[in-house]
Amino acid sequence: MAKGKYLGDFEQLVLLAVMRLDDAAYGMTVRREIEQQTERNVSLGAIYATLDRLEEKGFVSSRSGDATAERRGRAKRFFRVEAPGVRALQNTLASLDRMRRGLKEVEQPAGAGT
Amino acid sequence: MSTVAPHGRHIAMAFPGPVARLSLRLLAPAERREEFTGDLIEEAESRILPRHGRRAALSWFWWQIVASAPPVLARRWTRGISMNPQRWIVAAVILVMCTLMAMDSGLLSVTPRIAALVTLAIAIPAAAGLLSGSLGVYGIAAAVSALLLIAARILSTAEFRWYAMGFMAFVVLALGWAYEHRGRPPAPRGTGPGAPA
Repeated sequence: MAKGKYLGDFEQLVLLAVMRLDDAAYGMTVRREIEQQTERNVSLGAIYATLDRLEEKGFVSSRSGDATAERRGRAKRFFRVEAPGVRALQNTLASLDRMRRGLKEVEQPAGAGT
Repeated sequence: MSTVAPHGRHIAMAFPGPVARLSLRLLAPAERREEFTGDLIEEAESRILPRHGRRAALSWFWWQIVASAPPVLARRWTRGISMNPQRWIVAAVILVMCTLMAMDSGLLSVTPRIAALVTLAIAIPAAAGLLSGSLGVYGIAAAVSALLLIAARILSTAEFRWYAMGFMAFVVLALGWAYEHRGRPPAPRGTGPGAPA
């Protein structure tokens, strides 16, 4: 597989968050989802920069939503993962699985089975 | 327009204040500015403010702006370069020529303060060449650069050929701008005869 088809750590997190959120995936919900699931502080700028890069690669697509009063008339931009994005994620996760196979220290994800 | 929240009736005016608006304007790319700003306002006003109060909401808002700067600017930088590779060439030519001329014209013998002024005078047009394709930005960069060079020359007791550095930087900037705009058709005006379909 071409080098460009592998995903970086943060790209994986962003793609997974967009998939988990389904139709409700926009900048702030993606940020919140990553923060809640990984307990890691994330800036909105990092999310937008990553989504922009993923969109350029064709891994996600976006559409503009309606403007709402709570955002003072500013629209949301919703994202969804496209088929190449799903494939890239599968390939990246599969290669990680292959790498850790047989290594007792990391075979079980941290916290599993406790 | 006001939204808002239990213990923060002033927050609608505070978010985003003029400084925050300016910061967002400089930071966020135009095509994503509305969504980016809307996300920040929504989170600060509807989630942080009711739970933690106005001070925390403002702190969070500003932390987001500051923490967003490195990834957003890095993305803008790489995107701009991938879309306009010729800017690399312009900036590289300016930097190499100016550095060679600075070494040749006695810059190494001046005080650190003067050297800093001249370095800024070289770096500003180089950055303008790399980041912008606008004649207005080039003009401002050239003016600031000229002022810095004049200040350096007045403050310096050592001789260095500052005019040569400045002159070459501006020539290269002008060539870079002409290169970027070569063969570009004039913007269409109106819908009359001769206007593009």
